[in-house]
Formats: sequence, structure tokens, C-alpha cells
Amino acid sequence: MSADVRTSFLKYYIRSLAERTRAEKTSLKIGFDWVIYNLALAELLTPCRLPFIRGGPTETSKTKTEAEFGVDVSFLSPDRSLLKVFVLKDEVLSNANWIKHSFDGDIRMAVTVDLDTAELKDVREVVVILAYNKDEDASGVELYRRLTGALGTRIGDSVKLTFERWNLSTLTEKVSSQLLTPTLLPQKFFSLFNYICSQFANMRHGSEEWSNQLIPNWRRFLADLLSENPDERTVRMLPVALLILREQGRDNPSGATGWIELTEWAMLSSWRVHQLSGSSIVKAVVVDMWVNFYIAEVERYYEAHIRELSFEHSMDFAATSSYLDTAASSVRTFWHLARIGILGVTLADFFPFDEEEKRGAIAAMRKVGNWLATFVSANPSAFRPLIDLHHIEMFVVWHTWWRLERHSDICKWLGAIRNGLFLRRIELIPIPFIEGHSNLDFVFETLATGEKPPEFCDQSSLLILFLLEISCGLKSPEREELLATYYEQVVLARDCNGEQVKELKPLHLMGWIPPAEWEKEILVRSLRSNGEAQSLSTFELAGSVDGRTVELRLREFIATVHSDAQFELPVGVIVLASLLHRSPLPPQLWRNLVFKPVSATKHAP
Amino acid sequence: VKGAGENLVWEVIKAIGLNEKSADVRISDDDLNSALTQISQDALKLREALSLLFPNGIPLSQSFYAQLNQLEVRLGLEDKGSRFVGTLWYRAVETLEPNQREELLNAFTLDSDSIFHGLDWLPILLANFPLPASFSAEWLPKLVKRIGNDLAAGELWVAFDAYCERNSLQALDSLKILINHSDMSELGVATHFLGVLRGLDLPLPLQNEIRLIDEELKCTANPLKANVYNRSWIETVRRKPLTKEQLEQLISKISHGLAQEREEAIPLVIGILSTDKLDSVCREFIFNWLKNNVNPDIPRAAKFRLAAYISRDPQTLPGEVIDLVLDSLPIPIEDKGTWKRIEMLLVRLLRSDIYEFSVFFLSMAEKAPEEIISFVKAYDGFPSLLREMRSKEISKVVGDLCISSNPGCRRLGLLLFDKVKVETIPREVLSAKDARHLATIFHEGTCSPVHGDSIARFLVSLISCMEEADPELQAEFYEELVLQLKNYPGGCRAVFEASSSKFPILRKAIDEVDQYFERLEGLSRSGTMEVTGFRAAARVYARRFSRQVSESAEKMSVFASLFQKVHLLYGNEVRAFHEGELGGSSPMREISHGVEVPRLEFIDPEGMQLRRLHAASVLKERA
Repeated sequence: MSADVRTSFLKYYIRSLAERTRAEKTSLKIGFDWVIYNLALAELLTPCRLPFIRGGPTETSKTKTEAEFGVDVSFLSPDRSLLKVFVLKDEVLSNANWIKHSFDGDIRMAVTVDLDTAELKDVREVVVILAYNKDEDASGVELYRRLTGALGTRIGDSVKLTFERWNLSTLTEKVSSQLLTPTLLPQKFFSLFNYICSQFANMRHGSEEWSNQLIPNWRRFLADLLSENPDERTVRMLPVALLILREQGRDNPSGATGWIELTEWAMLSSWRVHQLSGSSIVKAVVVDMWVNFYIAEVERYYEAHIRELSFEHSMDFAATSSYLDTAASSVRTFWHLARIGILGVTLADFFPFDEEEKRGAIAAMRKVGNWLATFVSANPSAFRPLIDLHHIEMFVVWHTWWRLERHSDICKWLGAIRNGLFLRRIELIPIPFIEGHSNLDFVFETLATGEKPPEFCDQSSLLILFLLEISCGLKSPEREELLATYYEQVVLARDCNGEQVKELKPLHLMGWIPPAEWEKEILVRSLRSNGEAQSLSTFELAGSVDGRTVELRLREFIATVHSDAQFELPVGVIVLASLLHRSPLPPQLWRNLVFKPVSATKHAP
Repeated sequence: VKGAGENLVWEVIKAIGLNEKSADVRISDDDLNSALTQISQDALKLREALSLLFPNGIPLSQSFYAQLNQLEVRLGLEDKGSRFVGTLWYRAVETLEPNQREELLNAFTLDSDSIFHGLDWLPILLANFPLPASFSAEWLPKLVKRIGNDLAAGELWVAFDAYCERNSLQALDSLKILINHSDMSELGVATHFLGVLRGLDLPLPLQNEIRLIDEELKCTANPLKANVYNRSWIETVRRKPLTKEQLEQLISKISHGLAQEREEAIPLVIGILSTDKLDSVCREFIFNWLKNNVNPDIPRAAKFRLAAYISRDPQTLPGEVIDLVLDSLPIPIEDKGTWKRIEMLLVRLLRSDIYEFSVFFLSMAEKAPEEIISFVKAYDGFPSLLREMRSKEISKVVGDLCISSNPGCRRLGLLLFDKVKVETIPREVLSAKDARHLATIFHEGTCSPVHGDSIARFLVSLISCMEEADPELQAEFYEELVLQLKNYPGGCRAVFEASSSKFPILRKAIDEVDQYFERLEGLSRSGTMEVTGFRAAARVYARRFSRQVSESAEKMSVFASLFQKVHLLYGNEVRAFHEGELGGSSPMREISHGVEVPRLEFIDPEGMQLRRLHAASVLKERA
């Protein structure tokens, strides 16, 4: 992650904080007094006065109601000779606010700190720090300068007095360098978040422990954090939590991709907030996080790694020297295809209107299209979908190239996939055909034992119907050729001469119509068991298969079942939600593009 | 006389008064031998011995044979002991009433144990005791049935020989009954009796009776009877030389006979040939007949008999007779016995003359390449031949196969190139072929699954010729070098490296692939994500693989079938306590064998399969 992005999200978060942490009726209001307190602890200072009563690890600290006399927080140095007095303001330092929000009065009172108490008897220096988590203007700074200049350099005869001013930038810088730890989050989240941090630091991305322990914990944390109509500052806490996680797991070798996945779960939770919140600010924050945090981070990751990922066979490892390695390689490859694809889809989703920005976006989309092309051509596993849900990853690849009108790439890619699927369909290689229930365990079991488990389903496929449908969008004669060969070889399992292979039965092409509540629910759970499955009966059983006939039959089917309902969620978010919740994509995502009249389609960038 | 049962024998010997020594003194084999001879010649003593063995009378059940068997085991004198027991048996039978005799003899056939123990006694019984025809016609086939295909069957037929020779009249009467039956065991006995009796110098009346039977069978329309007649001649030939006229008549009868007879013709003729009692004229006649009658459509059993006969001693046979095996091709790969005989033939040819072997083997490959390939692959066939080939210079014959215009031969050539670890295809073999043919050979190599070092040696063999090939083929060839280096970075690279100073193209390919591996190893793949479910599946796979290796090792191991398998649970040394003695300690040893797996088969199984299919389709088009 670039320093700029990191700083800006920290800055957003700190700026959004109130002066004091307090629990309100509807939600928890997090204050930057907690940040100051933890910064002081990080500098080994001892709290002298706190504006709250500290609670347990899962509690919220209670705000004190006593008079402050200008001192919001104060700390002693370990040798007790230095006293740091903080005056906290969640306001802009300006002429207008100087009196209105008691900048002047509070600073004046802070310098009159009573040093006669027993605990302060050894103090030789007092530093009064004005800390505010908003911006300032020149007049505000000038008022501050004049006041601190006038207040002198000593308290009494022997105690030295100095002043510091911590503005938003200073606070951000200090937090970034000293406080990217779980303690930065409010106390009630500390315990779980601290545990998540230690899991993230030690668990390998994608391992059983990762999937069975860390992800459920992380989802619980997200649910806790974003419960009860969260406000802007709560939502802004998400990237901060992710930054802390990243910092804590920097020694984890698989931390980079793992962190992207954790970020994705956070993004889904935040889009759920976007759906439910009535606040335009909160909605804007979510979109900002999606584009400038998650998407920016994915882009940065592939900028850094695409060169090595696009090296021939980069995704293959000989762990067992068996076909298990082959399958594992496909899973890893499809993971990357999905992320690069989401990047491509999102760039198209958020296509700007401004001409200059448009040029930049087109260049970015082309770059992503090229990444996909080089990555796919370097890794044979990119042509090897193992489970039916791999249609999601294939959709984003297709979508990215489709928007760039890279028909030739699509044709080559579809052709190579067809060749591999045909060999698997007729069992000429030991990799099983696409598992319809999308259960990778079944695939691995088949490869490990040499026998398909009884639950293994290779007789129905939405993925193949998807491939046929997107083939309809290609130019002639490639379109007819692909439709004919896919249908003949993959669906009907006939060889190049039209001969039936091994008495294999035709594949059931499977459509799916999502349930009405799909868009509301997909951010929360899988909807694969909801909606309506549509079985498309086999046709063209006799004689040679003609691509045009296949296309006509498909168009006929789609005209009957297609709904062109639009979704409010960006396509990238829909894809991510379907991917993480292992739910099929709504077919209108591609049907709206492929089967729309030419005049109605978006112009490719 | 040793062991716990010695008292029985000792009591028998002592009681009949042949030896006055006390029971606790052991007697020598010579003394025992002489005692048994004396008892055998004295009917009274034999009766006494029987009454000692069976004090309650002769049991008409298997216990009688069990007791005799125990006696034979304790006598331990092998042949003489068997003869003595056989004598006791027929004397026991003699003492019984006719219906009791049959009951006792039938008890002999009730289980296989009695028969196998008593086979050695049977000639004595059958030679000395004429059985009623009606009984022998039932009893003898029962013996045949019981013994089945066991190798001990030879002893049984020897006993039948003795019956025919000593009790010819009774045997003839049995034959007359048996030839009218249809059971294969009964017909088997009939065939044997007829053959033996025909070959004996019997009194004229008997000969006439046999002639009458022959006349009847010769003209019969019953195929079973016809086969009895035909097959019986094999036994006859063993005893009496056959004239050419007789042979001609017999073969002519069979050749023009019933369909079932014709089917049996080759096994029968080879059976006669195998007796080694024919003169050169008859042999020549049979050879010529076989040359005219052996073809791919002859029955599988005939192919087996032919291969078995020719493989027995091919050096003594003319080349054209050996070639009859080629005329009988193809042979289904399930007929492992036939293929085993062919393997013996090939090994013997190879040992005696590589040139003759080459000519024969190339012709055989030309006729049945796919069968040979399948037999080698499916059944791990031809192990002895492959071993023998490894010790001989056979690169030319393998090379000739590799460049053959017959696709099957090319595949067989490549298979042998791999299995026999042939170093190279000789230049003179390759240079005889044009560019088009070279491309064919090359593509054949690319779609044949062989080990890394083998494909490397094969490609190195082609380099010199490739230098003169068209640029397109040269480019394809270079791609193949690179691909195989990536596929087999161990075996293939070692072979290429060894020849790289001679062929710059190899150096270039090695350098290119070295860069590939360097970059691949340099990738920061330590940070790669795991795949959920992979670890568990890898454990299952490892167990399965280990089980397969273990089962396969046991199947292939001679020792595993000889010794009991014991799973050792602890420790790293082992010793066994057996029959009261603790054996020496042996440390555990690890045995391992490594084979380089082709990388790209796991990285890109689809691509590799498509390459093979593509090469195969190019070859098909070219063909």
C-alpha cells in the first residue's frame, strides 16, 4: 500500500473522531482522547489525568463528568520530571472557533496546572499540547502563536513551560509511526481484534485454519463493529483496522493475498452499510473505501507482482507430483483471475465523464486487460475451471476483455478452455470434469483416491451455459465455430468426427434466476439454494451440430427467461459478494451485454 | 525309520518275523528294503501285515488310504516304499468281496488328497489287478476328473499305460464301453486306451477287435468319437513308428473330416510331431502340411500348441517352420500362455543369432505391433526378452522399428527404445530415410509416452538428420528439445548435457531452459496462498500411493510369496524366535527407487494430451 493511501485513510479516520469517546443511544462515538491516551502509553508516559474511567477489554470507557480546568489529558514521564498536558479539540483551529470553542480559555487554564500535589512535586518541565483532529487556518495559528508567546516560558520559578501544537497531520504521522496496533481501536474490540491480528500473523492464507478460524472471527468482528447503524467514524475505522492488521502480519509470507481477502470481507460489510444507511456521507465513505482503498490496493498488488505472476508456469508447484498439484494450481490461478478481473470490472463500473480522467481510465483498463492476457497465457491452469462457480472468475475475465473489445483474446481463451474441457469430459486425462456442486473437496478426493465420490456431480453445468451464451456475443465465424464445438464436444461429448464418446450422456445445461431479494441478501449470505434453476433440454442430438442452430436455441431460451433488471450495486461488488459467498452470478450480468441490441450497448472505451 | 509313527512300521516288520531286533534299535534302510522285498513276495506275510495295519479288518473308506499314506510316509523309501504300499493295496483289494472292492476303490476318488497320495501306488494296483470293465469304465474317468489339470496327471496316465499293457483284455472291454460316452474325462480315458492298445503288440484277436473299433470310429459322424480316434494316434505313435502312408491317411481324414476334427487338426499334428518318434520323411510331410494350413484364423489353442512346439527347441527347426508362428498372428493378448511361449522362442533366437532374431522379430512386429505393445504394457510382458535385449546390441533392430512406415512398428520401436534403454538409433538407419519420413519419426516420438532419458536419447539420435530438414521442422524440433528439457529437467538434461559439446543446438536449448528454471526458482513463491482441502487430500493421496507401491512390490517380489509377512511395530532391528531358536538380529533397511515424473504432465495435462493428439493426427494425415 502506498504511503499516501495509508496516510489518507488514517487521516480520514482521525479527523472523523469526536473529542471524547462515549456510548450514545444509537451507537458508540469514538473519541481521539483514546488515540492520545494510547500514543502516550506508546511513549512510555504514565497517565496522570484521563477524561474517562478505563473499562475492561470488551467494555467502553466511561466519560468523567468532573471539571477539567483546561486539562483534558495529562501524562508524566517515567522519571516524573516532565508533565505533558493535552488540550483536545475536535474543531478547526480558526479565528471563529478560537473563542467559540474555548481554544483560548482552555490553553490558559492548562498552564495554571497545580504542581503542588505530591505526584507532581518532581516536575521540572510542563509541555502544553494543543491537539486537534481538524484542519486550521492562518488566523487560528496566529492566535495560538500570540497566546503561547504571551504565556511565558516558566511556571513559578523553576518549572520550564513549553507549548506544542499537534494538528491532524501530526496526529496522523504519530499514529502511523507508533500506534498501528490493536490498541488504536476502541477498547471493546481490542480483545477479539488482537486475537485476529495474532491469527493473521501466523496463519497461512488459504489454509484450513485460515478458512475455519480466522475468517469466521474476522466476520464476527466486522459484524460487531458495523452493527446498529454505524456512522462515518465507525465505517472509517475499517481501513484503520485493516492497516493495523497489515502491520501486524507483515512477516506472514502469504500476508499480501491474505490481507486482500480480509479487506474483501470488510468491503462486503461496508457495502451492506451502504445499502442500509440513510446517510449520504456514509455511502460516500463506502464508495471511497471501495475505490481508493480496496481497488487501489488490488491494483498496487498486481502492479508489483504481475511480472512474476505472468512468468510461464508461475502458478505451478510440485508439492505432491500428482494431479492434486494441477488442481491446486487452478484454484490459485482463479483466485488471481478474480482479483484482476474485479479490478477490470470496477474500472468499467466507475468510468469517469471527465475527458482527461476518461483517458486515464481507458489506459488503466487496457493495462488490466493486458495483465489478464499475459497471466492467462503464462499459466495453463487459467484454462482449467474445476467447479461450476468458477464461472464467476471467468465472467470478470470475459467482462474486462469484452469492454475492451478484445474479441480475439476471448476467442482464443474460450477455444483453449473448450479443448481442455473436452479432454476432461471424455476422460482422456485424469482431471475430472467441472464439479457441479462446486465442492472443491470432491475434486480433491477424486484426484487423491482415483474415484469420484458418489456426491460428485458432472452432469449439470451453469458454467457451460455461460460459456455458450458469451460465445453468442462474438463475431462470425468464430461465434458459430465455438458454439458448435462447445455444444458437440463438451455438451454432447462427441468427438471431432461427431461420434459419441464412451456412451457419455449429454450434459444438462443449467440456467439460474436469482430470487427477488437477491441484491439485499447477497452481501450477507450465499443464495445458491434460493431462486430458480432452469434446465435447458438437450437439442441437436442427431447429425452434425450447427453453431447457428445452437445460437438460435439459446436466444430463444434467453428471450423467454431473461430479465434485464438492473442492480444498484456495482458489478465488481456483485462479483466479489458472489465469489466470497460462493453463490452463482445473476445471468443478466452477461446477458444484458451479449443479448442487448447493438445500439443499446455501452461503447467500449 | 524315524519319527512318531515308527512303531507302526516296526510292529509290522517285527510281527511278521523278519527281524528279531528289539523295538528300540533303529534298523538301516538296507535292512528295511530287504524286509519289504521279502514281504512283498510272500502273500502270507502281506496278509499278516495288512491285519496288523488294519486289526479290525479293511475299512472300506478313506481311512484305509490314510493309513497306507501314513505307512508310506514313515517308510520314507520313496519308490520302494510306494511299491510296497501299492502291493499292500492290491492285496487288500484281492481279499475283499467284489462289491466291497468297488466300495474301497470308490473311496479312493472321494477326495483329492487320497488320489494325490496314492498316485504312486496306482500302477501297482492297475498292473496286478484286472478290474471289471463296467467298473473301470466308471472309476478311471473319475480319477481323471479328480486330478484335473494338475501336473501330477502324468502319473495317472502312466498308471493307465500299465493297465493297458498288463490287462489288455479288460482295458479293451472298458474302451468299448467308454467310446460310447460323451463326458470328456471318459473320452479322455478312451482315447488313451485306444492309442496305447493300438501301439502294443497284442495277440491277433485283440488286434482285430481294435481294428474293428478303428474302422467304426474312422467313419463316425459323431465328432466326439472322431476326436477319440484322431487323438489316440498320438499315443500310438509314442509306441509304434508311423509310416508316411498312415500319416497321410490320418491327416487327410482329419483335413476332410468334420468341422470339429478340422479344428483339432493342428494340435493333433503338433502332438504327433512332439512325440519325436517320427522319421524325417514324416516330419517333412507334417512341416509342409503345417505351412499350408497355419493362418491367422486357426483356433487359439492351435496357436498355443504351435508356439509351444516351436519355442521348445527352435535351433533344430528349419527357418520356415519357425516362421509358422508369424503365420499364426495375431494372437489375442489375453492368451498369455501363447505369448509366454513366443517370448521363449524370441529369447532362444536372440541367444543363438541376433540376425535371425532381428529378421524374425521385425516380421513379427510388422504383423502384430499393437498386440506386442499391449502385451508388454498391460501385463508387463516379455520380461525375459527385454532383459536379454538389454545385454545385446540391438540398436539396429530397434532403429529399424522406429523408422518403419508402419505406425504400430514405430510405436513398438519407441517402446523398446525406452524399455531396453537403447543408446541411439544408428545413423545409417536414419540416413536411409527422406525428410518426410524423418518428420514422421519425430512426430511419433513426440506422441509416445517414454521416460525422460529415453526421449532425450531419441531426440539426440535425430539431430544430425534434422540439420538437413526444412526450417519449419527444425523449429518444431527445437521447440521439442526445449519442452522436454522443461518436462524432464533431470534425465533429459543429463543426456543433452552429455552431447551438448557435439551439438550446439542442445547447448542453446539447455541455456534457454536454464534461464526458465532460474527465473522460476527466483519467483517469490514462498508467499503463495494455500488451497483449502489440499493438505488433507495430499495425505490421502500419499497413503494411496504408498499402498499401491507396497502391493505392487509384494506382487513382484519372489520373497514376499515365500515368507510370512510380519508388520514390525517398534525398533530399528529385528530378530525372530522360531522353533525354539532366536535368530540373528538384522537391521532394518530402506529400499528406494526413484523415477523422474514428467513435470508438464501435471502442470499442463490438457496441453500435453493435445500435443499428442495433434501429433497423432499429423501422422494419420501423412499416412
